Amino acid sequence: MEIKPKNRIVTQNLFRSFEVGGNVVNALNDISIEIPEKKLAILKGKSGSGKTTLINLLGALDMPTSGHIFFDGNDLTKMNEGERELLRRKEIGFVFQSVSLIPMMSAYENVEFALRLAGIEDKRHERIVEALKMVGLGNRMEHMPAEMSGGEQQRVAIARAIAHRPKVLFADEPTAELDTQTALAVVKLFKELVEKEDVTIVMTTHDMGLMSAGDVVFELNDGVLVV
Amino acid sequence: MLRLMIQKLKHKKWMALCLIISNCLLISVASGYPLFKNGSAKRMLNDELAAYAVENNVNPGIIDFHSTANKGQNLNDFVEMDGYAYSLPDYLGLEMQSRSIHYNLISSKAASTLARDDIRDQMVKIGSVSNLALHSKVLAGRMYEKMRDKDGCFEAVVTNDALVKLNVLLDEVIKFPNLKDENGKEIKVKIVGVIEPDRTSEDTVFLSSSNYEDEFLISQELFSNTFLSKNIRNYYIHGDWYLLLKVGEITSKKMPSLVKKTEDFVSQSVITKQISTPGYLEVINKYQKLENKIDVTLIILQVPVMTLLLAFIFMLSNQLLSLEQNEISLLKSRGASKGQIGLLYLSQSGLIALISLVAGIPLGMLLCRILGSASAFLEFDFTEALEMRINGEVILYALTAALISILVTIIPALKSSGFTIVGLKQKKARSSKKLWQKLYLDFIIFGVSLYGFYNFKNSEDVLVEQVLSGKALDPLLYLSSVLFILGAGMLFLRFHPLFVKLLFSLGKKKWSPSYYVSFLQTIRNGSSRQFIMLFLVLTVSLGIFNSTVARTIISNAEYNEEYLVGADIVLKEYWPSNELLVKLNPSVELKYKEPEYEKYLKIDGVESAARVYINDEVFFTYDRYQQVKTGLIGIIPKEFGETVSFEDGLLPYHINYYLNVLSQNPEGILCSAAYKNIYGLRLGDRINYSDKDGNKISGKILGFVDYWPTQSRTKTESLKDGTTFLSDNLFIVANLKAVQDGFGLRPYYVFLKTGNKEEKNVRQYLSDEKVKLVSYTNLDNALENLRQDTLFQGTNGILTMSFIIILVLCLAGYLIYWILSIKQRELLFGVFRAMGMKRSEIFSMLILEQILTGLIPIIIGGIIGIVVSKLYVPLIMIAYAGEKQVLPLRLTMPGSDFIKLAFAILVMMGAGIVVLANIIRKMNITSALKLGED
Repeated sequence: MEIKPKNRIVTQNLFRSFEVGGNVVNALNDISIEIPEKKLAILKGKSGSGKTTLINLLGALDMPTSGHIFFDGNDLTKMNEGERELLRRKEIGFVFQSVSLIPMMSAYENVEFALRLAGIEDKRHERIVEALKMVGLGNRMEHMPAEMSGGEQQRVAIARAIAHRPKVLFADEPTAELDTQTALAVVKLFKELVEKEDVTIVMTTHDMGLMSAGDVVFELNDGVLVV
Repeated sequence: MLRLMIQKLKHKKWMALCLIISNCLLISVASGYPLFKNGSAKRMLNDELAAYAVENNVNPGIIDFHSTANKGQNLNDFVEMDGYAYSLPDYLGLEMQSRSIHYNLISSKAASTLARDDIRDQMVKIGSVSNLALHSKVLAGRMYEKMRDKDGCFEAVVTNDALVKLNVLLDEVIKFPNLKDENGKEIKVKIVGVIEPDRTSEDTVFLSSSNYEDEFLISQELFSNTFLSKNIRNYYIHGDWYLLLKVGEITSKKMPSLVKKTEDFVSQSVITKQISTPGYLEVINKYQKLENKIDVTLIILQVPVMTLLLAFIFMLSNQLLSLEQNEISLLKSRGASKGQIGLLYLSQSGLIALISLVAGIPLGMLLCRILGSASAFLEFDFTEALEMRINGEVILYALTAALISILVTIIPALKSSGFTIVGLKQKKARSSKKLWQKLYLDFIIFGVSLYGFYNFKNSEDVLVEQVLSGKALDPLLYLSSVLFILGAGMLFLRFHPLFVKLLFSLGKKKWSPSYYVSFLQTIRNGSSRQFIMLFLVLTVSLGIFNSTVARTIISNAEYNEEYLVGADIVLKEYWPSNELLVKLNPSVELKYKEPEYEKYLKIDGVESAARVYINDEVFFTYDRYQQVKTGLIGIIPKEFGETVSFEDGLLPYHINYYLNVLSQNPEGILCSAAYKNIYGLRLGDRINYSDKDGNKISGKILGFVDYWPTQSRTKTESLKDGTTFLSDNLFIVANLKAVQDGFGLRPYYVFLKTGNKEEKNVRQYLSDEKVKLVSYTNLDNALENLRQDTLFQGTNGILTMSFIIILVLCLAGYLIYWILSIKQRELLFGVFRAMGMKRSEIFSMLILEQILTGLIPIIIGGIIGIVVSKLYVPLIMIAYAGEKQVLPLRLTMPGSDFIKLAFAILVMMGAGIVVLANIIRKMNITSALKLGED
């Protein structure tokens, strides 16, 4: 009998509106999705479709105007800021569109920093090396961000995001500033990570070419889920 | 392009505003220097002129020359001198305030035409004073006419004194049987009026003080026509020519030509024997020396603050540039040439300089007014305003400052306009050592300053002698102290990362994530902070150094003055004596009559009084040393101890200990340390000392003292060629009783100790009782004069101004740097927050960073400031105190200034924290992250 995959994240009737110059803009309209664990989920959509807003909500960076987000069954909207911070530290990893490495830290230290934040002290070094090897940078651990290419930097960011073994890795347009070749390599890496690290990955992209890689794909258009 | 520039400035309005303000400050400091210099020069010249008038009882603006013509001989001189009296002011280039010519005939026999019993023939002068009518008022009768009256009489006026002394009556006609007019007729003078010369005006300072008590004054025209006419040459005539020049108008520029022309005039054959050198020449001579000293000192003192301002401007424009680097690179990539970008920045800094010029000069005037009102460090007294004039020199200084500022702004722009966007990214990746570190500039600068310091330290005597001969503070000395600060600051920068690394490694595993980030930030990104850290070190240490110099100058001078004066009031009364008789007949013994002394004790406000006999011409004899000149102080120990101002700690024991010993041994004496050091005398030795009349006293040495109220340890002596050197001051302190027994009763000084502000009671008493004084010194007055010294005031003013500017720069520089560094990292903070860092963690991360890159440099700056003060202030003080430095120098490091500095720093850091808290509070993770996507 097939075991039904557990849902890592579930949203119920999510709304998020912003006030822009006195007008209320509905960035997200009634979004209800389920993201199963250990899958690569892709949120696609044009620029301005609301996918970044959605991923920010899923990643506990932002709060919805109404609706619920369940992370492992816990309602994010009922958590206080401290609890959400703790969640981000321990259970979540982020990769951003623009390079988000800490410039004065080497690749190794960037990864180490995430572990420090998550409070992981056990076998820290081994884990750092493992994470960096996983993203294919085992030989560039001591390099500073400025000494690496955009793709390499993004891979360090990924290593950093998964080093503390989060349950979910959120990646907002991680390939937007990369060339197609590198972008494909990043997506390939994501797929590997899902398999090896048992992590759930949620990424947004507007690149139609990458869509096929996703285990689950959601499309957004003007804040509305396209079914 | 102009639009682009203005848009650019608008976009960064805060930075632009800061740039304008700092440029304004730079220009105002630069233009304030000549303004202050010229203004204070004027005041100083006036002070010197006034001091000359008081000391010599002569207005220094007077030129007077005299001549005598005997029966036609030298009569031509009179014509020539008359000519000079009129042409001299123009020749010298000075305005004339007034002129007076006085002629008179030698006394001639005069007889009344009235039949009066009470009058004998007597000797009277016929004289004339030019413009007499203007400068006198008629008490009786009327002023003379220019013509003889109908009877052929000369009309004359007399003073009241003459009226009495010569016993003449109004309207009386006096005949001079021995004087004949051009027609051979006897001269007759009719007294038509009695006058009183008006001596209240400056214009009449040369009216004869004898009040013309034996003169009939007639019209000058009549006098000239009659007695100076070339036809008759049988008179004996004396002439005085007086000119009062407006010497207050002399400017530094005019001085050389004025001196030359005056000397030329004085050395003319007609004049030379009949003239005394005008007072203003002496004043100018003294003034020029002083002015040079002040100019040099003020410039030197200004260099550090100007440099800091330039550094600040450099830092700002660098920051501005780093914000704009993307734009520059973009412009370059789109094909703008290096020249075009250079031009853009040139016109930008040109615009800023222009705005600053317009605002900076008035600000300079304000600054200068504040400068001129500095009564002490950070204290002002606005009662006496400085006269200020904007002249070419001021504009020149302002323009030069503006130009330098443009250069400083444009250089980094030119440098960076060489990079394209590719180059920029490459540059960012590079993080090599700074050039100065590779060149070991820090070690070199520090080494040079230390070398300079030891050189100066070893040649302290030379410094003292230089100052005594009128030289200013040695620029190299001050430079050396500033180099010391700079070198030490740079050394600190070199070792700062090592220190932080050490601290970091102490708890590498344990540091919380936020501290971990701040440590790494400080260690890795240190080079971008080096400038602000150096800036902080420099400002704090210079602030401390400046305040110490300024405070020490005044307190040291006061301290010395107090010691040298000896008591609150020191006076010497006139003692009647038979001195004249002794001169005629040396065999008579010189006797003085002692004025009553007890009266001083009765004056309200006098707490105690002491009789102090001081004689600098005493000679001691001991063994092979015969008749060596020494000073002698005769005291009554008890009252001396109660009255003098003498700081405890100068002698190994309290002064009362020495006084007690002295009072128990009537024949005992205390000797200055030089007796022991130079003449090898020991305690218990007996020496003889005598006055210049040969009266001898024997004294047993009870102790040696390094210091004694009124006595300096060394004295300045000058050789005939003008070189000065220091020699040890010899003095003996003895019981007054023993001295009076040996030398006789001689005039002594009275030292008074008065309560606070009671000095006026003493003065009132002395003037009420008509006490005749030979000298009178009031300590408060002496101290007040010290504070008003232009050199002191200028120094205080500049140091105060520097201190304030330093505080402002420190505050502004730090805040700007801090805010920018936070703004630049907003994205990173967003990332941190996304990774689950708390706001409070980011806050504490930044606080630690502020401690590492802000507080530590400030503390180090404080330490450097104290060290440099301890090392250099004693040397710098030499330039200010000169021969008045008799006591060991005491550094005054006023806690109150440090508190002000610390307070400003706290405000600065507090403001930094408030800004930080505000930014973090407002920070929204999602929008912070969006920043990165632009």
